[in-house]
Amino acid sequence: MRNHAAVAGVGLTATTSPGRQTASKTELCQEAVDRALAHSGLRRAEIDAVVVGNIDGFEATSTAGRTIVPALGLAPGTSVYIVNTGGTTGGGVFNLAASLVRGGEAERVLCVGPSTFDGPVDLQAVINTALPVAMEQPLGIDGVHVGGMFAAAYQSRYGVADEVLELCAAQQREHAAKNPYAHIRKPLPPETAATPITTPLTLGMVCPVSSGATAVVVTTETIARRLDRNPVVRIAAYGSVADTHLGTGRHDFSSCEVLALLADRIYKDAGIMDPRRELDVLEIFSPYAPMQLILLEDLGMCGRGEAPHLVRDGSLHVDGDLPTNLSGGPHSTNPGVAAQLAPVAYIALQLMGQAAGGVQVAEARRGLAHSTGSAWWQFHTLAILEKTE
Amino acid sequence: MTESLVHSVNWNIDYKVNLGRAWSRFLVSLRDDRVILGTTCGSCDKTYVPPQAYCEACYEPMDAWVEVPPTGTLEAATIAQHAFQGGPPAPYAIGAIALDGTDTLFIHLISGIDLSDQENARTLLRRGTRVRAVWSQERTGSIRDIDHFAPVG
Amino acid sequence: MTERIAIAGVAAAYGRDHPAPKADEVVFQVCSAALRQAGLRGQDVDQAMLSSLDLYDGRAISNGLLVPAAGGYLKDESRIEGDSSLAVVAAAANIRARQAEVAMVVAVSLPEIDHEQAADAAELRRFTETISNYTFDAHHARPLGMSAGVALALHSAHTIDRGEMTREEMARRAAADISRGAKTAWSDRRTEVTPEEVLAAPGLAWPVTELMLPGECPGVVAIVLASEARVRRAKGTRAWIRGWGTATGRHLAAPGWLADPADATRAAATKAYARSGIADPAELEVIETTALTPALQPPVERALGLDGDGDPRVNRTGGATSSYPGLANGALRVLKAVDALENLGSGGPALAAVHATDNLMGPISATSAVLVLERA
Ligand SMILES: [Zn+2]
Repeated sequence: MRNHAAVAGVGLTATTSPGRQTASKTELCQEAVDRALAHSGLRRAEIDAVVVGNIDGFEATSTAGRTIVPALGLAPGTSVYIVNTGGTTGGGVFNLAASLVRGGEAERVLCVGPSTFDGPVDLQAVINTALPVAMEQPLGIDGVHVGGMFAAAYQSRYGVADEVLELCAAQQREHAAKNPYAHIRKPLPPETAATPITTPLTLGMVCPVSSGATAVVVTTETIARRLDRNPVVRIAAYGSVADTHLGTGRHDFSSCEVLALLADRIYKDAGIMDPRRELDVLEIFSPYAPMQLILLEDLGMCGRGEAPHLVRDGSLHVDGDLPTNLSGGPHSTNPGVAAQLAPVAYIALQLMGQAAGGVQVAEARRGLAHSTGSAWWQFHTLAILEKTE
Repeated sequence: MTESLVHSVNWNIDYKVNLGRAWSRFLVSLRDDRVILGTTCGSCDKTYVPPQAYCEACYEPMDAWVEVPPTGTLEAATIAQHAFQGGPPAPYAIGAIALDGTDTLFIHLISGIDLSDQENARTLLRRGTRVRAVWSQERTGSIRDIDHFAPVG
Repeated sequence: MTERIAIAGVAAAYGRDHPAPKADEVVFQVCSAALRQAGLRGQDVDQAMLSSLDLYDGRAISNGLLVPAAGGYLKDESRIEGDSSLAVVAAAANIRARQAEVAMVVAVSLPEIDHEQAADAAELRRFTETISNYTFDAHHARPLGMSAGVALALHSAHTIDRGEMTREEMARRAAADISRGAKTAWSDRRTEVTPEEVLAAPGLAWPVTELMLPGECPGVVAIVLASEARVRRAKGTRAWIRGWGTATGRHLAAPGWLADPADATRAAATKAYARSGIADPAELEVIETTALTPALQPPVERALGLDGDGDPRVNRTGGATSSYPGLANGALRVLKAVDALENLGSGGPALAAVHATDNLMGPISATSAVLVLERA
C-alpha cells in the first residue's frame, strides 16, 4: 500500500560569506543534518536512504556528496543517491526523496543540501562553463548576464521602471533582516547598491555568494504522525520541468513558459483551482531580485506585466495576501544546493507554525517551494506542501 | 579557537568536445561562406538557429537546411560592466536576437555603439532594434566568426 | 511483492561506432531506438532520468544538453551522478509514486576527449583515473594519488596477502571473462587472451594489470520504463523489473572495505530478493554482476548468495571485464540480462539478477544496486 510522503523535520545552519566561514563543507552538513534529525525526532540509525546534491565544477571535489555522506554517522549500507541538475539540484533532491517514499522504496529519507559555492575564486567564470559549449560560452555569458537578460526583456516589454526592480531587492532584504539564517541582513549603502553589474541589474539586485547548509527529513505520513513532534506536513504535489538548453528556443525572455506549464501540472495534482487564493505562503528562487516578477506571473499569481503591482502594494509581505520569500530568499542567502533546498525547509516551518524571526503567516495551511537554474533557467522544480490534521 | 586553514585546489583537465553534425556544418558555413544556416523541422515547421540535428519539441530528426539572412530584431540586451576570469573585457553587451526567418532567439554579442555611456547604450539597444551581423576578418569555425551584431538604420 | 515495472525498450550505442558524435545527437538516436522497440513516441515520455558525470562530459551541469535529447523537453527531469542502475531505481520509484507512466532512463558515458584517445584503452584509462582522483577528497586522499585503480589494486594485493587468490588465478579469471565475451555483441575487448597475456599487459598498480580492470569504453544505453497499465497499451514489454535493492559501501577510512568489499552488494541483494519473492538464488537463470577486478568476483558472487566459484549462470558474456561503459555499465548489464532472458526462449517464468556499481572510487563509497528481472 502506498503512503503519502511528508516532511518530518528540517535543519538550517547560519550562513555567512565563504571568506568568513570557518567550518568545512562537511561540518556544515553535519550541523544541518543534526538539526533536521533532532527536529524530526528520528534517530540517525533509522535513516534508510540519503539523497544528496552537488554541482561538479563548482566544488573542489567531484561528486562531493560521496565525501560528505560518510561523515554523517548513518547506519552501514544506507543507500546514497547523488543528484546533480545544476540550479535545481536542491529541488531535485527533495523530489527524489518524495518519490522514494511514495513509491515504497524507503521510509525515512534524509535530504542533504550542502554548501556549494564556497570554493571558486571567480564563481561567474565557473557558471560560464555551464552555458552551451561552442555557441554561448565563447560570448562571455555568466549567471548575472542571464539574470540581466530576463530583467531587461521584462522591463522593456512592460515599461517597468528601475525603481520597481530596486523595490524587489529592498523587500527581500527587508525580509532577510528578520531571518536568523539569512546571510545579507542589512541593506547595502545606496552608492554600493547602485554599482552597475549588467543592465538593468545593479549590485543591490544580485545575490551574495554564501556559505551554509540545509537538510530535510522526508518520511511516510504515518511515521510523521507517529513521531508526533511537529504538525504533519504532507507533500501534496511535486515535479520538475526542462526547457531547451540553448538560449534559443525561448521566444521571449520576459517569461519562463516552462514554469507556467509545470505550475499547471502541480496545481492540478494538488487540487488547486485558484493559486493566488489557495496558497498561503511562497518561497520562490530569485537570486537576481527582479526575477521575482517573472516567476510570480508564471506561477499564475497575476496577469502578465502585473507583478509590479504585487510588489508596490505590499502583497508579498507577511501581512499581505501573498507572503513571498519571507526568508529573504536566495537574493539574500545563496549557498548553492543548500539555498535550492531551503525553500522547502522555510515552507515546512511556516506550515508547522514554527517560522523564526516573527514572520509566521497566520493560519498558513498550504505553501509552495520553487527552485530554478542551469543555463537560461532551463530547469524548474516545484513542491506544494500542506498541513494535514 | 584553532587556526582556520584554506587550501588552493585546481583542476586541470583537457577536453576535445565533439560538435556533431549540425553544429559542425553551421560553423563551417560561417567560416567558409559567411552564411548563417538553420534547420527546419518537417513536423512543426520551426526553424532553429543554431541548427539542431533533431527537433526536441517533436522528437523527430531535422535535416532540412535553410539559409538565414544576417539580420534580425533585438528582443533583449544586457550591458555587462564586469569581466570574469577568462571572459571578454567589460563593458560588452549580450543580445537575444530574433533572426529573420527563424523561430528561435539567437544569442550573440552586440557592438558598434558606445557602451561606456550606459544609459545612452540602453536606449540604443532597446527591444525592437534592427541588427546585422558583422563578420570577423579571421574566421576559424567558431561562433565568433560573426564578431558581433550591430544596430542598423 | 510490489508492483512490476516494464522494461519496454532497451537500446545502446558505443561512441566509437559513431564518428565524432555530439553527445546529445547520440542520445537522441539511442533513445529513439529504445522508443521504437516500445512502440512509443517522444511525446509519450513523462520523465527523463539521466545518469552521467559532468567531468566526463567536459561541461558543468551537462544534463542541460542531454535532457531535451532524451525526450525531457517540457517534461519532468532529473540526473543521478552514479551508476545508471540507480537511475533505473529512481525512475522506477517515480513510476510507482505515480509521477510518471513512461520514464526514459539514459546513461551517457562519452568522455569528451580526443576521439582516437577515447578509443584507446590505455588513454581512456588515463583520463578516467584522473577524474577518479578528483572524486577523492581534495585535501586528504587526492594529494596522495588515490584513484579507482589504486583502490582496486590495494584490494587485490590484500586478497593475495590473505591467501585468498593468487595472481595467476586473477589472470586466469580475467582471461576467461575476456575470451568468453570477445565474440559477443557489445564487447569492448574483442580478442581472446591467455592468462599469460593478462599478466604481461601494462601494469596499473601491483598486482593489477590493465586487462584485470574493467574494459572501459564509451557508451550510451537507453531504457524505456513504463507502468504495467501503460505498457499494455503499447507494443508490450521486453522484461519486467520485479524488485530491487540498493546499499552503499564503506568509505576510505572505514575498516572493512578491504576485508569485506561486497557488504553493500549483500545488503542490496537481501532487499532485492525479499522484495521479489526469491527465497533461493537457485531460482535465477541469468546473473549479471559487476566485479571490478577478478579479486572481487568471489566476494560479489557470495554476496549474491552464490558459491563464488565459476557459476555458469554468471556473466555469460564476460561481465565488466569484457565491457564497462562507465556509468552506463548498470544499464548495459540490464540490456544483457534482457537479451539473455529472451534467448532462453519462452515457457514459464524465468528470472535474472543484475548487480551493478560504479567505478569512480573502486569499491570505496560505491552504491550497489541489485535488480531482479522477469521474462516477459
Ligand atoms: Zn518540430
